[in-house]
Amino acid sequence: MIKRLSAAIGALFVLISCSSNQGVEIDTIRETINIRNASNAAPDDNPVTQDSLKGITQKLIRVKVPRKNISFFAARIATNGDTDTYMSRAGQSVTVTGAAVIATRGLGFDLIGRSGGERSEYIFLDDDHKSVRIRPHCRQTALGSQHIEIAEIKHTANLLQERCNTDQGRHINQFWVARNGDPLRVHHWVGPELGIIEIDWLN
Amino acid sequence: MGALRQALYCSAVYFLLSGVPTCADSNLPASDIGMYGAPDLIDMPSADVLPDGQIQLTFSGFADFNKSSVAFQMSPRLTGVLRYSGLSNYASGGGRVLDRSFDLHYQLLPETKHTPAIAIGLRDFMGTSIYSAQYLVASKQVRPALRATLGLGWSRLSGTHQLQPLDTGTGGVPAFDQWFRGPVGVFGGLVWETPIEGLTVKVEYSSDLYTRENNVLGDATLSSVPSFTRHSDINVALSYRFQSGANVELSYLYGDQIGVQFSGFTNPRTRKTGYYDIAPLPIQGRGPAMHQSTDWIDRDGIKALAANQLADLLARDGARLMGLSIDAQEVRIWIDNRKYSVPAQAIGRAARAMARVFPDSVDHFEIILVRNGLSLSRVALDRTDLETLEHADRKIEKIAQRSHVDDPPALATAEITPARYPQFSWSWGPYAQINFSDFNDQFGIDGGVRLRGRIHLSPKLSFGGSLIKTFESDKTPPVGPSSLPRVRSNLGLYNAVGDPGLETLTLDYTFKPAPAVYGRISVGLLESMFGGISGEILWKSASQNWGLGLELNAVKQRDFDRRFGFQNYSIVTGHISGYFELSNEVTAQLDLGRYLAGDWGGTLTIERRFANGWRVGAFATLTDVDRDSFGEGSFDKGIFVEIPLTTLTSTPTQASLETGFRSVNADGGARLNVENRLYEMIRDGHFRRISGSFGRFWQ
Repeated sequence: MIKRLSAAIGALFVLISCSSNQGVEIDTIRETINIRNASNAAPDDNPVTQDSLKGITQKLIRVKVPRKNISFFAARIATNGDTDTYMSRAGQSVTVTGAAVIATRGLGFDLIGRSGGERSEYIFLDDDHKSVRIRPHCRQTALGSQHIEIAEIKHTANLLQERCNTDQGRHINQFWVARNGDPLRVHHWVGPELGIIEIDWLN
Repeated sequence: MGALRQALYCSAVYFLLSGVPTCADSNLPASDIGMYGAPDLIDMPSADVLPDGQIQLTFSGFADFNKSSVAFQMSPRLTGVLRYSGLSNYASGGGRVLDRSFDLHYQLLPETKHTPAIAIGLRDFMGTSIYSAQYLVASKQVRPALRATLGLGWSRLSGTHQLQPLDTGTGGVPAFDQWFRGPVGVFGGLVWETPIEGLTVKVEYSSDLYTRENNVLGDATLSSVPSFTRHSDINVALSYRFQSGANVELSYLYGDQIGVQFSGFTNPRTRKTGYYDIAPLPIQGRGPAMHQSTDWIDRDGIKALAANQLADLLARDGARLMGLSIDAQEVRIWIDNRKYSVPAQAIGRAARAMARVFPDSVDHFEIILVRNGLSLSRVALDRTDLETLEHADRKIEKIAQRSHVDDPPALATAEITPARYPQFSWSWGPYAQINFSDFNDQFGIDGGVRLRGRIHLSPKLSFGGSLIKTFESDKTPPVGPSSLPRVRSNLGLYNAVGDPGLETLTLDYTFKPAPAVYGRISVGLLESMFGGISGEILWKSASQNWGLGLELNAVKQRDFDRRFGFQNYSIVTGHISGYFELSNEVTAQLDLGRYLAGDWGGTLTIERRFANGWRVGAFATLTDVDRDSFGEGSFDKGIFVEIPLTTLTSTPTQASLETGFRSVNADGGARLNVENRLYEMIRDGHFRRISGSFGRFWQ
């Protein structure tokens, strides 16, 4: 099983390791296509090991959407300003600003966008392509430091929690952030259909 | 046709319309639909309206009568209903009458905290007047679970036997002078939502005396045997609404009869089906301006490499790269979108692909949508906008504002044209149409399988056709003499002899003599009953909301076997057409000219097309053919619904299902069914459709 996991991560690494945006002379486009062509890997709940991440310099995340039984690995393939977009081999993507998820694609009921500010606004599309906006009322609490383990590495993380209310119900966002500010883990509500998306930054 | 079969047809259409789960956030319970398929109590109208865009299908029946109705909420306040009714034991000698009728229901005032909703309505306003009535009605929520309705009715709802005279001819002409005239009746009722979820109790006071159905006045043209005995003015009903939105209702009517009703609905605006597609390429932010070198443009083979890479990326998103012009700061591409039913989504994906392929110095993108070799529109975008808006607040509205749409340069001006010819494409799929037959006054499904194939010899020249095999069709030969050439009334013979048959086989050429002028020439077997030559010119600018077209056809009637032979009848037909895009959703089309039987007249088509591709419309054709020759209704009319498969499958596709209710074998007002009419071909690539679909630009 570990071998399979390592192979999956390795394959993903090979596919994205040359990503660049220097233009047509860099042969990255086919690699991007390959990422999107690749068949969807089955959900794999095995823990990620350091062995399987060896040699990978590309930012890699593991994504789970428990309500939809979705699980995939994704590599960072674009940075635009302060946002990073991670894409899986099967063409699912997650865009984050820091540890906050601001967009998803390829998950069915996607979060089209999210604005920050005092009151976040989540934007979805209805089937008539009109924007549907949800503005949760949230209350933030700093819960201090916690020890978490991701890919066999123990981290001391600051946990920030948001308790939110929407017309559709309540949810809790949780952000585990390293002392240097890097995101480590997030459990973030991304809509009434998908519910909570869980992300671990693996490297 | 038996009531059961009619019910089955209705159910089939309902499930076709509903596809996957119906809307969940409809604000009008389906139980408030009545026997007439409109916002009603039981047999009486109410002042409610359906949620905007809702399509409601209802089958109801009691005693000797059944009704199949399709209601469409055309605008937030205007409801239209098309109804097909069967009345057994109605005519003299106990004969059965089949009747088509149309209703319009308009909510004058919506309900407020202190005032009721008020609506005005016309039932059966241009049919044979069997159900003709006019009303003014008010409805108010008087308690959290109790809704009250009170109304005034004329003609059939007048509470008297003084009805609007029947149109003993063929109907179809509105009797304006008889509306809201004569005695006035009062009707009303209550609707109580019980504590049991979905269960509603209704009670109403009816002002419909069913004068003709029970032949109260002893009319010799009507059946002498009453359909039922009207003991009471009070009707009661129990309605149960399922979570899917479907509704069943059982009623006790007029102290004598048990009534049943089944109703279901779908709403293109509020369906929640999700959308499953591979994620678009993210925008990679560019480096500082100082790194935006333009030296790359001079490298050997760089443009060909860019074309290949871009073609690969576009292919993943279902678009074909037709042409490309590259400059160090600006790139223009021509694409043929084969995947997305929504043009803005194809444009958004193409822009992202361009941002991945071209070096940082390229700051301006132009994307030209192409169909059948015709450049439809140019959408100009700044790369900086893509970068800054990708995750910005109100990015949908902002990118729509900053995208400029205008008439495009021709594909022939492209620097590189990577597409290679000939190209072959084929498809197959089922088709179904619900038809009225003007011979036997029946309606039924014409359905089967259609196989299509087409070879594109160049972007603008193609040769192809279609084969059909019917599973269910009307094979009834025409009955009696006809004063018109049988241009459509031989449909049954075509279905009997030409099945399977060659439906079309044409050589088509499209051209664009000026930036906003489109042309088409088609030669061959143009449709299942006629072959010949068809030519069309359309003037419509990409950013203009109206267009003018001219079509001329010289055609000859095909043999019944639907092979290559022709009969003796030939004719030159043609139309001048005006297209008016009244909003992003509503289009009106007026065609004036000569029809296949040599009759002169016009067709008015009004349709509403939702951003997601659902299309609902109605048309009416009036020509100089006298009313008796035209058959029931005096003129051709019908409704149509087009359902994009993407809203049923939740995956991107341009395929769609089209069905409708229309007369298929009336000879008057019959227009040539040539494929690839220009307006249909180009409209998706023009401003209204693009601007109405920017919601999907970022998806």
